Amino acid sequence: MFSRALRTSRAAPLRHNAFSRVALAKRNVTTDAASAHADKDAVPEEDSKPFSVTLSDESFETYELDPPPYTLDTTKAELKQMYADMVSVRRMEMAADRLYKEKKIRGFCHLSTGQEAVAVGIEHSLTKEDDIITAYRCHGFAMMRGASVKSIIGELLGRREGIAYGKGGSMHMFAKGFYGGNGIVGAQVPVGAGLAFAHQYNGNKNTTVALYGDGASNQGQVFEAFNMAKLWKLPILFGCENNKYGMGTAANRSSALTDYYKRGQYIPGLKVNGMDVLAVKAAVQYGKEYTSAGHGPLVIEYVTYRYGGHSMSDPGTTYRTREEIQRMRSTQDPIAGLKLKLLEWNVTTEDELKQIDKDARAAVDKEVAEAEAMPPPDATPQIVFEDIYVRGSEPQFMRGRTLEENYYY
Amino acid sequence: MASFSTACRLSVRLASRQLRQDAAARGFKSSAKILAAQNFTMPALSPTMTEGNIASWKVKEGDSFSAGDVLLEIETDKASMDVEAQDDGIMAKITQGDGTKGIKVGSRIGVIAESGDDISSLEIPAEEKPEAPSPKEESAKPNKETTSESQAEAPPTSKPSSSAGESKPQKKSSGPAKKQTKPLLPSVQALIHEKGLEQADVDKMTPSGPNNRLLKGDVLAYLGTVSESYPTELAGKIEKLMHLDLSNIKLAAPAPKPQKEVKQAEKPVAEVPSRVAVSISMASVIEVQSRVQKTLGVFMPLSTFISRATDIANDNLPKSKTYQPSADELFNDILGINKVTTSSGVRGSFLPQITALPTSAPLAPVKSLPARSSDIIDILSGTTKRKSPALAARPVPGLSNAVNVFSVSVPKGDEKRARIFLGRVKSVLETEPGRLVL
Repeated sequence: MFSRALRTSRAAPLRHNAFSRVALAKRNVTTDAASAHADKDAVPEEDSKPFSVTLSDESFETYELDPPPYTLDTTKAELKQMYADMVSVRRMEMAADRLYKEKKIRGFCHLSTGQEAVAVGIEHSLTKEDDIITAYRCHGFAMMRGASVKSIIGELLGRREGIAYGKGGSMHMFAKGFYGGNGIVGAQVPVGAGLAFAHQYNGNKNTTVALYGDGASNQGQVFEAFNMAKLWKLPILFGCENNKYGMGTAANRSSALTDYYKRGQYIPGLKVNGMDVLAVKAAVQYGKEYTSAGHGPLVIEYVTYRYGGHSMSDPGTTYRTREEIQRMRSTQDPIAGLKLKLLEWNVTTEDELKQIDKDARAAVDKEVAEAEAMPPPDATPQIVFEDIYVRGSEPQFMRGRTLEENYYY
Repeated sequence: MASFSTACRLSVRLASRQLRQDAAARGFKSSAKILAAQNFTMPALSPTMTEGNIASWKVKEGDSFSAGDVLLEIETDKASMDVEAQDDGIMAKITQGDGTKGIKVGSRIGVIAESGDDISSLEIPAEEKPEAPSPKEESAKPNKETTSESQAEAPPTSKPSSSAGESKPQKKSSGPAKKQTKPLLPSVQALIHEKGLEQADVDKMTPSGPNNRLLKGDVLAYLGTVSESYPTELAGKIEKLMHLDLSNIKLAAPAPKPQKEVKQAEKPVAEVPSRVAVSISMASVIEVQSRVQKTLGVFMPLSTFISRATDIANDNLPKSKTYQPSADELFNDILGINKVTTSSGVRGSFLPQITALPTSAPLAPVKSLPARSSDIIDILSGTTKRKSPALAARPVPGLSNAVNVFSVSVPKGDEKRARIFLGRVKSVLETEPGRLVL
């Protein structure tokens, strides 16, 4: 109650449209992807000239925290880049879906179709020196951190040219500033706290984004990481990607408190519209400033939605209705929402957007074809054992299941 | 149901459109316009699915659909599932109609065009070549996997075999010393440390061990302590000794002889049992019996006396000539442990057979068969020696109050023991039967 009063009193001057503040007492974060506003006439001609966008009042909800500014400075070029990134991520996920259904990708595969705004929004508010660590739904993050589509799809196909030399698969992808790709539910959160500690220890003004799902938010180690992070005031943004369903169970059936941004208890929280890439960017940008200033960690909840099943073996329609998915797809889609806004603000033309779509699709298709053309690795012990240690730091030998399988480096 | 869901979807979409109130909602598509049609192939809806049946198409040729719409329902052996569109588009052509069975994963079931394409002028792409063999690939998969497995196994086996080839003396002596990849054996490490050798020296040594490993002898040979050829000679010798040489083994002679011997051995065994008999008067026993009954009022049957006398007589008999001492006894004998208890003899297991003699009995051994010859089983089985000890132990109905013949059948060589036994029985029963009841 106190925090809410605090929030309203301080945040009010920042708002532009006072009318929507009528129902302050009871308001939830929207998942409307196209809720931001910008003055059409204020949008400059030049691509790189900044202009400000006003976010919807319903973009954030806070817990013991002042809300981030509801205005976001951006440029036309950045908006277009965000759009292109989201389209590329979705294209790649669709390619992965197709390859999986053609049985070319085997094993685990968790797709983030519908959640692109989170990965893209976070990446656009960080620098390459900041760190990201996430769970197994990681293709989009890996791509945004600079991995090529070819290396990601190659990894899924188990090729040597894959980002983890074909040995990690869908769950284990790594890039500069990106620490995976972790298969154990919730285990990446303490690791993220460690990454944040490294920044603090080295005196870097960087932040770490540690993401987990709404299902993982009940894991004990998440709370252990919370405690350490708050105790040491680590520069970390704990991020709960709340896509409303943890592997077949609705959030309210698995969690006693579904306000995941309040789960930090002693850590301030922020709930963000995770379908609006601009809101995500504004929130993470604010969070980065907050942590860099030495205020300690934040818990951010990204309210989002996945269109597909939890993994490829989940049809995704047994615990929710097809109508619900279709409604989210048709009204709250992050890509379509941004597209709508770009057209509304005259940032770009429909033709240009179509060209971006076409280019993204062509680029992804080309790289996927290249990945498919890569030869599968030979089944030799050398290939199996050679990437266990950093080159040159191997022990004399690795034990196999039997004496004959022992591999001597 | 389907109509209801489509109605729902329609209403939802209408509502969304109303919400927008914007012509730009038309641009609410996440896909680009690309002029090529695409083959729509049978999807694998689960990792184990290899083929499926089309239950029904939910769209018709020419229908446009948006991402997330159900295109068709597919039945597999496990379940029936809806296939959703990943993207907006138009169903240009359906090549496999409703109810088609057993379609392999990856084979074409339709053609999809981008939304906004003109279907009439659309070029239907040829079914991709890789797709046709893909079902074959599926069926051939197990084979492929096994081959890949064999490949997987082959390298480790080939590697040791190649290195084993090198480990053969001839090859190794010709080839230059190979760098040691495996950790050195502890003995080799110790020797190298002792002699203060460098890594460079180790690389120069010629390994003669299995899998091309360096042995202690190789180090000694390098140092000149043993002759250069010694390790290879030794390796050859070891290799020779590793295999059991059976070349000079001859077949054993046929074995009919031992069979005969067995037969001969058996016959004497069958002939052996002989009978030792002693006549014992029961007069004193009966006297004691009646005295006990008079004084104590307890009737003691004769069998009690006889069994107790047998028990005493069996004690401490001399050892049988055919007695085979057990390993335990031999061992104890060596240690001298059993001297106290059984040095003077062993406990026998005789049970006398008692036959009543109405007249005065001869002292000589008697063939007492006539009494038993009426036993039909003995006649049928053709054996006369089968006197079960249990039967003999029972009080014999024909027990006479006067003289009885106590007989024991024993194997040959044990007659002396039997006589000692019967003598004891006789003395116990005739002289002091009173001690038996005390």
